[in-house]
Amino acid sequence: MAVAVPVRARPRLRVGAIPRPLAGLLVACTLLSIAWTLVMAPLQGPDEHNHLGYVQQLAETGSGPRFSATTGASWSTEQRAWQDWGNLLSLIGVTDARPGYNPVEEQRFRRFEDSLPAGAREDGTGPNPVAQNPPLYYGYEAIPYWITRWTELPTRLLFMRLANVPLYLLIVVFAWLSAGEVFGRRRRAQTIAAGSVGLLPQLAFMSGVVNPDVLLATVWAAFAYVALVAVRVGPKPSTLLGLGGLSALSILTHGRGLAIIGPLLIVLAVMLWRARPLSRRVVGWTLGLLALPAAGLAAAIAYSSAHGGTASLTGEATSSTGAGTLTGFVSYLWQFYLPPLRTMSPQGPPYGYRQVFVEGLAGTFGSLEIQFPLWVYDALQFAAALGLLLAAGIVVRRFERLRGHGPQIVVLAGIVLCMLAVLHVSAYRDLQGPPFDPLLTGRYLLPLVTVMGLVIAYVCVNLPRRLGSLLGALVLTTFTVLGLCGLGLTVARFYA
Amino acid sequence: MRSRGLWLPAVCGALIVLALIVWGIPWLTRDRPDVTSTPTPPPFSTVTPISLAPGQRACSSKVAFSPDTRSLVVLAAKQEGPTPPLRITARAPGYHAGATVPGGYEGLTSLAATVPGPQRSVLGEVCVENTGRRTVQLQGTTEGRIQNRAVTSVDGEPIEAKLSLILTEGANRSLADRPGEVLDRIAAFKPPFVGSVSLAIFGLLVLVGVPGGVLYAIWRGLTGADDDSDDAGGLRT
Repeated sequence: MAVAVPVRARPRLRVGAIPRPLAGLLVACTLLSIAWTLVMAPLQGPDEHNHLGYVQQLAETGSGPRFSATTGASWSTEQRAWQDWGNLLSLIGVTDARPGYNPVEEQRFRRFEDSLPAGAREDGTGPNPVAQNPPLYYGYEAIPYWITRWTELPTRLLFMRLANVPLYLLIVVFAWLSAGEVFGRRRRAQTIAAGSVGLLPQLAFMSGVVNPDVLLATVWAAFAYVALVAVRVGPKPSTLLGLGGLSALSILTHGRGLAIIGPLLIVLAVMLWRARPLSRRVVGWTLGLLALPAAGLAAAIAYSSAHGGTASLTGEATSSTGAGTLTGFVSYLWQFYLPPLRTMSPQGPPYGYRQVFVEGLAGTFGSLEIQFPLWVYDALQFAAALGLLLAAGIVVRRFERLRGHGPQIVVLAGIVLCMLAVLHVSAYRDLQGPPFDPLLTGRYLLPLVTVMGLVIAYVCVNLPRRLGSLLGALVLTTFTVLGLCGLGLTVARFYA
Repeated sequence: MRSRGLWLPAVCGALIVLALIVWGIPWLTRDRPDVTSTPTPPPFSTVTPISLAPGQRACSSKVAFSPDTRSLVVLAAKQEGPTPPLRITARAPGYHAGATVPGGYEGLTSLAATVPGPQRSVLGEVCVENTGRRTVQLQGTTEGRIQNRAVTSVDGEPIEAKLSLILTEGANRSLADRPGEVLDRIAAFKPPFVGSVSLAIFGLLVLVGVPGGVLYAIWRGLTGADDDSDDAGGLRT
């Protein structure tokens, strides 16, 4: 992009010497994440009650819950007691409701915990609507659950939420490293890219609740970095192993993680094209790489078949409703991004890029009920449009220089387009049957935040130096303010 | 420490402070209903009316009262004609209070009974009795998403619908009026090391540390030389 990146020596990580701007960002992000962990009322993250049920069942019995009906319940007796005394189920998305913060409610729950019946932690066998999800994230969360197993369930949830902090920080680190790959050794670009990723309000919020989207975002951030390294250094065992391993992790994290197969094939194609003529060894390593996601896919399918019942592994990545038509899909896609033409019939509710890209990423917290005032989203939409125009203008102006970075651009574009294609096809198919609701929210875009950060950094480093720095600083400042205000809105929502 | 290039973090810091003042002061000082408990919140989308004939009584169980509770709020459903008076009572071990809501209220309105609070936090029930001569329709819900511990009964017989019921302090207060109460509420159902004091300290740390970390990053990352030789050999490839 802005500066050519010559072929360098092997990648070298020295964690002991964290660059100062990155250190500042990591401190800010750690505090933000812990703040979200504490302030977001229990089980009020997206589907968090179901994710907790999954983790508990997995940690207690070694096997996850089932999607379909069982002799047990959706959640364990222990979790149901907490939901009752903490008023946590009727709280979800209902702005007039408050959590149970009366001391007598806490006492009653403690009394229940003190005389917990045998099996009260293990009877959440299902139906659990997230049971078809692959088990990687839940296995990860089972570690803090297990370590704090002697405590009450609310404490276990707190530590499970805190276990997201390293995943969140890794996203920031990988955004930093990716910017290093794209822009070279430029602290300015790296700071803007990593800062705009780490301080993104939606990502900070999601790092404070139990939800596999955080791990999925971490895996995709790592994949973006390794892919950029791979197209630079070529098909070496370490990069191939990294790409294959991360693809497998993505598939084992969530159904939406299957979308990584697209970018993986694109990276491979670019890498092998550049490495021509191919030696037998390279071909062997490449085939070995493909074995990893294949193994991950087989494991995920096996798990999902055993636990998912009628639900498929792919979950939100595909849909159980009708397939629709190509014309219908084009119409849906048009209306998602642009005003409908006269000849077009409405495709579902008025729900488009504004709701997903602007409101979703800037922050709709809790179970979508905590939102900024509309003027905030209006301003952000305007700023994003301006930024995209600026980016387009810079691309046109510097097209010749960009051509030298074709492989990087192809890889980054592949990451975005493959995920968006999966999300849009899935959302369109969801619109073909009841409840005619496009299952597409801002947090589904979190795997793409690294690319978003790189685009913001690209715009900034291609402006005159002072102006670019000012713009980058303004982005970071805006996200910081939004993050703090989001925490404030959440306090008022639950505890006023 | 380098003094050059401080203008950018200074400008950003001023913007953050300004934004937090402009947004934070109204947020802190705006009066809001002080909800002490929501045994059953209003329906999310569909009201299921609970009919009470003259003399009938609906009760909601396992209601948490706090010493701050001053108002018991039920909601009238849509109905035609004159509406009857209601007697709303709160009852728990060592606590009994009640008030009458005069008839003549409109449908789809909040009906608040002002009562004295109990001496201590306690579990009990709230009952609404139709003391008039006409049937009244109160708001209830059978929505699956409103799943809670409260059971609603009419004349002692449990019914499927749950009576919408909110308990408040009866007066609107700002967050600035009651920081300790808000922190105590955040600390509920959390381990002992998360108390109002530790939360207050951590809150200050967030208010200072988050902008501080970001401004430090801006200073070291956006104002220095682009290759930042200070960090040569740091965490990057």
